[in-house]
This record gives sequence, C-alpha cells and structure tokens, in this order.
Amino acid sequence: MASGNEPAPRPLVRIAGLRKHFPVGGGWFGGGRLIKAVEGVSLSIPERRIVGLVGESGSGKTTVGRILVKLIQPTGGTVHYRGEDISRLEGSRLRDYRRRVQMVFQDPFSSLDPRRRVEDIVGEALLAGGVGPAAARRELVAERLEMVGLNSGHLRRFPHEFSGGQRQRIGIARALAAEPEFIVADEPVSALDVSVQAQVLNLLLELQERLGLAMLFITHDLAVMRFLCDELAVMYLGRIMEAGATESVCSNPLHPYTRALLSAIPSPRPETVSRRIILKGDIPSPVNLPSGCVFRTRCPEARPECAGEAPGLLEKRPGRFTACLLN
Amino acid sequence: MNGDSLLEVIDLRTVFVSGGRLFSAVDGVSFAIRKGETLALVGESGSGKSVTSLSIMRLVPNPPGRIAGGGIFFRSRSGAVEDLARLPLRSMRRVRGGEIAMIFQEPMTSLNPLFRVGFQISEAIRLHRGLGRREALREAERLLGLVDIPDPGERLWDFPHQLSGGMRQRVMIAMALSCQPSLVIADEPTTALDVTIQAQILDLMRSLQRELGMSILFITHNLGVVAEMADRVAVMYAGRIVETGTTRDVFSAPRHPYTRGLMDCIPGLIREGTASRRLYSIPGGMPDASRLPDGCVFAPRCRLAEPGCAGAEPELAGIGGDRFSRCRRWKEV
Repeated sequence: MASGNEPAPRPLVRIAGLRKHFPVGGGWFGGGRLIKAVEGVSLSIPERRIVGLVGESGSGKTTVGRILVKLIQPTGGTVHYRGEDISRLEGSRLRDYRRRVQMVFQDPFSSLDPRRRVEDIVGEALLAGGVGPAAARRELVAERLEMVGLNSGHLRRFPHEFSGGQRQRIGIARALAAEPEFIVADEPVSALDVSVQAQVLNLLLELQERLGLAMLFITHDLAVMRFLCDELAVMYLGRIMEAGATESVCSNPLHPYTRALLSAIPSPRPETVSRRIILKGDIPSPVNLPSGCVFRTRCPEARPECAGEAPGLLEKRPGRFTACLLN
Repeated sequence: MNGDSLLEVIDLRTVFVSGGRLFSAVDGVSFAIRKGETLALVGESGSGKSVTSLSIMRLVPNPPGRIAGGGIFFRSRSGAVEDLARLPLRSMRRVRGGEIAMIFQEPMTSLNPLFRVGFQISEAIRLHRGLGRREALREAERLLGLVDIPDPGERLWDFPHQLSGGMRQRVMIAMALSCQPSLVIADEPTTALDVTIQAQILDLMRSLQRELGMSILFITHNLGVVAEMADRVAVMYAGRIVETGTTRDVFSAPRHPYTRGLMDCIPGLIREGTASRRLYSIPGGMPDASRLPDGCVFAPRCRLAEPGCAGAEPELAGIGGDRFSRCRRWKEV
C-alpha cells in the first residue's frame, strides 16, 4: 500500500516515450496508413506495486502490455527493466527476462492449449527454464496449483474439464510457475461472472502480497482497478491522459476524460451515484486522429486552443500527472 | 391476467436434452411486466435469463430445447390476450418484431453484413407495416434520426461493418422500434460496448421509453446497469427466480443471500480501510443444471445454509409489499 512515510520503492520497469505503429491497408510497397496504437507513453512501475492501465477499446493498453512481455517490438521509445534496456537483451539474459516477466491473458478459453494437460501447460516454463527431472517439475507444478486453489488431482486433466474461473486459475499458475517478479495481467477477470471474478481478484491480490510481485493490471473496469491498484494510468487513443495514486485520482480526477469515465460506471449502490457526464460521439479511429489533444472531439470542456499542440503529460500537483491544457 | 399487465409469464419451464439427459434450464419462472415498465432479469451465466427471453420469443432452438410447461400471456395490440407458449408459429411471426422486438448483445452478428442498413431496416417496415419501398426508406431515415445517428440520410447506405459498435447498436434499436412494439426485450445490449458508449446507449433507451412508452425486459449480468434502467428486478439463479421486487428495495435491502452475495462481490467505488482489502466472494460455482442439489439450489454456496435448507425447495414466497424471496431465512439476510 502506498502510504506517506514508507520510502518510495525503486522503479522495476521504466517506460519512456514508447510508440507502436501498425501499418493498415496498403500493399507490399507501402502506401498504407498507420495506426498509432501507442504514441509517447511514459510510465514507471515500482517494485511490489500494482499499477493499473485503464482505457477503452483502442486505447493501446494491451499493446503496451504486449511490448513489456516482448510479444511485439515497439516502433520507438525504451523499456528499462532493473535499469537494462529490454530491446538489447540477448541469449541467457533474454531467457532470464522471459522467466521473470509473465503474462496472464484475458480469455481463459483461448489462452490454454486444449490438447495439453494442466501439468504440461503449467510446467512448460519450468521445462524451458531447465528444471528437471520430470518428477521435480511435477512437484513444483502441484505446488503452484495449490497456490491458486487447485490441487494435484487436477494435474492430468485437460482445460475443457474446468470452468472459466478455474481456467483463469490455471493461467495464473502458469504465469507463476517460474517464480516471476513482474506480471502483466491483461483483463484477467473481464470474461468471468461477478461471483467468480471476486475469487480471482482476491487470489491475485493474495499472491501479489505473498510473493512480493509487481503487476501491471490492464483493465477497462474502473471499479476493479480502484479495488486492486495502488497507482493508475488512464489511456485514451494511445496516450496517457492522467496518472497518479489510485485514491487521489479517483477522488479528485483532473482530466475531463477521467471524470467522464468515472461518472459512466453504473453502480448498484445508490450512495455512489454521481452526476453523470455523457460524452458525445464515438472514440475516433486511431488511423485518423484529431489534431492537438486527441480527446478534444468528445471533451465537454474543449476550447479552440485544444486543437493546437498536443498537451504533454505534466506533473500538475505532487504525484499527479495530467495531459490537459485546461486542468 | 391483471388489467395493467402487458406480459405475464406463469410457471414457465423450458427443458433441454443433453447427453441423453433431460434438464430444466428454466424451472417454474413467473413474473409480470406492466405497460411502460422496465423489468430486469439479472443473473450470472447459466442462470436461465437468456433462455427465459428466448422462450418468450419462441426462439428456443428445438431440438434440443422446448417449452415444457407454463404459460406466456401477452396482451396484443388488439387487446386480446394470447398464450405465446401455445401460439401457432405462423401467428408468432406477427408478434415477433411487430409487437415484441428484441435487441441482442452483439449487433454485428444480428445484422446481415451483406446488406446496407437502410435496406435492413426498411425491409422489416415493409413486412410488418405494409409500406412501399420509398416510404419505408423514408421511415428508416426517421428512425435513424430518432436513435441520434448523425446524418441519417447518408448512414442508410452504409454496410454494418462501416459503423462503430455503438452506432451498430443504435441501428439495432432503430430496427427494434421500426414496428412500434409494445415490448422490447434487450438481452445484454451494452455488454460488448465501452463504458462511455454504454452510458450513451442506456441514456438513449431511457429517453426513447419516455417518448414511446414501450415496456422493456432488460436482461443483464450487470447490477449497476439494472440500478440505472429497471423499475423492478428479478434475480435468477439456476433457472429460478430467487428474489424479486422494486429495484430500489432489492438493492437497498436484499432478501436473498444470493442477491446479497452478488452485491458484495462488486468492488465498491469507495475503497474501505486497507486492513480488509479483500472482496467478498461466493464460494463454488453455478451448479450443473442436470445435477441440481436437493432442496434450495443455492444452499451449497450459501452462508446462511442450515440442515433444513436441504429439505423441500422453498417457494418464491411473498414477504410483504411487492417483494418475493425464495429463502427460508430471508429475515436474516
């Protein structure tokens, strides 16, 4: 937990000016256009903290996560892990990075190979990390399964024999198998029913506390984010609009987009209903971005000057960053 | 049937055959929707909420499913009350779209990708309202304007894939409204949408209802959306309604342990003290419909369960006012 008198933990991951562009349309010889999925994202993830990356579809939050686990290469910018540029890792250092940094995926139905047994799915990282013999691996896998609330009786089963919540537990056990330091969790509970979602959120929190993990938690659900994350960054169309400590941002959002997002969450608790801000129009296409501030086309507070230069993410108050000319 | 009711579902049972076994996806469900009212059916996957709505539309895939009992009484435009569960399919075609319309979760799969949206909307209008081609197209344009689609005259010529998810859902709503239905069944209509777009669509549905006065059966897993949309709510679990009442009453003081559990599972927007940084969670999962426990179906996951709960299954009993609960210990929830 972030509290005033605790020394700020060292950043484990430092992202600076990260960009990722995807070509769309066009042929082999270019002429196509670019989707600027991530455009100048800077973010630090401290040790033992959960940082939330929040945004709607097309915000680029998943792309950031995929770059961190090196599933894709960035177009520009850098990611440093414990001070090392991850794009320069090779050989055993790269293998070591891949062991320390793991991902939990959104869909527990498509992210597990249906033809492989739980033992092999969870044990794969151990095998890749050179843990042997098979009996030792099996013991470690059984231990991991117990950690996530499953047991050794599940070792020989196939993914289809499990419910959605149990599959997500298997996905978490797989991510934990090789004792990582940092987990990228991409919408790990959004495919689950609410009663099961609560079980998995509690499990993630418990494991994070027990194992001292750092986590980047990617989500579109602000209520889940507020429950779980120490810090957060709100993304919109590839850029960070606002970042800071979760409670500070949620109780006093500075960016108009954060305000609209927070007010749009329907809540069954009447005491939490706030004044609703309904944004006009659709999220613009990332191929054809507005000039200046990308949010200005939907912003209830936009002024002519917002079409000028895009505002940078600036520290407007201690620990509070926002990319808005007006706030 | 009650004078102010538009729809009364009484003791509905819808069964499926799977692996040579027969099981009830919906078992003894009863509820009523009044004119101009929104009723929400809320539940998790496997609760039977979607099968209930498909039963009303007689769209349960047969085989393996069929309506095995109960009645679905609907007051048609002529004033006559018909039992939709027994209506010949030919007459059902008049009811579907004409008197009861449906909006689904994923508009991309419910719109035909090969036809322009103007054609798809006007086709329904010509079929149900007997308008000519040109008049129907003009009416389609009016409807697109009604659901706040900018430049409706231009959008008529778009194919579904050219529209965003939110715009496609607006087209679906326009289509649903094209024949002035008295009941709209909306099955998770905003689940696939981003939260800012969801807020727009919910706002649109509320204002259309104020304007046109139709009743809405709103099917969702999201309690927040229920609070926003519904006058009354029926909470479903394992094919049964376990609690029903006005939304305000049910959410301010739930009278079934499942409803209470569902509410406690949702992370609050106000974070409580850091010491108890855990969410309440309901142990276990939804039971398999073909192997339901004896007695109260929720008892194995219930924090109030006692030996007596494994006896006879409790009825959905009146507990005063417009409220009903299927729990023997509702006073202690």
